[in-house]
Amino acid sequence: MEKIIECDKITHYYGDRLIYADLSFDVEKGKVLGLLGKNGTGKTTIINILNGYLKPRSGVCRLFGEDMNNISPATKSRVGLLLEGHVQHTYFNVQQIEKFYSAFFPKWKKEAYYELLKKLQVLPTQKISTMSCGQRSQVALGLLFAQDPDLLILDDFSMGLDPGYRRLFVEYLKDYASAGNKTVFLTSHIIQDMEMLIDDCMIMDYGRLLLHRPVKEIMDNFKRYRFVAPGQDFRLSAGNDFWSPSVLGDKWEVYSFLNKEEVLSKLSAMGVKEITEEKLSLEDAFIGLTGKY
Amino acid sequence: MNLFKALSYKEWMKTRKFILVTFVLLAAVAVYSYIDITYAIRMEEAVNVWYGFIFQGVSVSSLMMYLIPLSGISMAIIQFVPEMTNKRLKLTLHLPAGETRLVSAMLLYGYGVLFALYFACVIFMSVIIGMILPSEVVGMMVLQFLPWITAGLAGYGFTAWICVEPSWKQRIFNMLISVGLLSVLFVSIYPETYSDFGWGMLLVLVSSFVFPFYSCVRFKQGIQ
Repeated sequence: MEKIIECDKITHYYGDRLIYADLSFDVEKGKVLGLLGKNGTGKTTIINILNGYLKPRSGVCRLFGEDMNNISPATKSRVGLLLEGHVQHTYFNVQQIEKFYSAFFPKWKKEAYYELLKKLQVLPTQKISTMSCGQRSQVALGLLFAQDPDLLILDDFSMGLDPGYRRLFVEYLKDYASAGNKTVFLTSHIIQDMEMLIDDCMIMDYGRLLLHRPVKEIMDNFKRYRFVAPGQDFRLSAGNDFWSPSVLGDKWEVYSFLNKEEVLSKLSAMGVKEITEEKLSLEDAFIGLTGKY
Repeated sequence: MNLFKALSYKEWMKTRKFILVTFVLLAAVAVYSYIDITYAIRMEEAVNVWYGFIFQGVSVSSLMMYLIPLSGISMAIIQFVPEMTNKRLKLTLHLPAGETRLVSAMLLYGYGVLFALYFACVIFMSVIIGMILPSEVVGMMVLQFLPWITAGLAGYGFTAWICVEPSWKQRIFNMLISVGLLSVLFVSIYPETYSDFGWGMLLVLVSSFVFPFYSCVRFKQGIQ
């Protein structure tokens, strides 16, 4: 399968603070990849590096096989970029911004833009600076659809959106991604939205990539287990098999990729007699993998 | 696609009101200068007024010394501050064209508009001042305007350089360099002062065009 995004051993620091060391991953054609991570784990940073807006300490990223620092105009026209906060040129109105962008993209689909904007209660002459965040998000999305890029890079697309606009955004995006073998790389703080949308999931922790797996694999295999401590001295620490163990009173919870039998077998050696297994949402799985704090 | 035409549309949307205001201001100052000179001729007699212009280096319109450079600086602020707000310059640099071409087109739009405004102003002033003063004084006026126009154009480029620069520390350094280079153009208002300094004015002008690219590269590298 063709690799659309390749990051190879990216190391980056802000001052003395390590953001990543030797971060490597790639995104194949047709995949929708979600980048999850707590605040400050470098989600926007990797998007900036990918688009050549930040020079890492070392390593290289490639878009469609081209080095991030020398992306050709032809490749730029294949990449749709949504900046954090749906940033756009706010001095334009709805019509003017479409006219401006249409001059740059040969495959421009004017109707895709106006079709999306029909859902909004805005006039063609309304200035973008007077729009709500939700309306601006639709303008930005409409422009991306009109550009018809092969790769969409969306930085925190749900930021500032109410549930209705978030859902609208996700539905359009899902439809777009599945229709034409498009590749999408996105970040969001709202993990519920990601669950509906993404095929693969990358979870960042401070300084490293915690996990990069298909969402289905995580949802099918990563479970929460609850049990009662066999005694006051019982202790369980995080390790290869157990993630984010925590206790409230004598009631423990722990996350694991192991199945119930395997977990019980390991815990019974410590005196635990009974465990209960819980299926997780992606958000629960994210908490399980990264911890609550 | 005509890159310059497409980008000029964006720049025009940002600057059109400013261009109109500057046009009106330049015309108003030209008319004010005309009224001022005709009044002076009536009060002090033409020969004394002419003497001041020809032998004492009096300016036909000293207000232009401030208005022209300030208009250049303001144009850059109006054009580039919105680009740096929320780092919108990323959107522009992401357009499918070479980054050098994109930045050049934005700068050339600004230089072009300012040059057209200043050129129209000089023509207009030459015509109306030519009605009351001899061509020799009009020629001296044009010579006197030359460094101010250079300062307006260079002020535009230097301000763009300061705006695009991502780090405040470097921005202050850029300001100091800009003030230093622009001050070279205000050594004296005497009309003939810069007649042998054409190369110097050209150098300042070229620097003002080249320097913003340096800060653009820094912006691209994500320097903060």
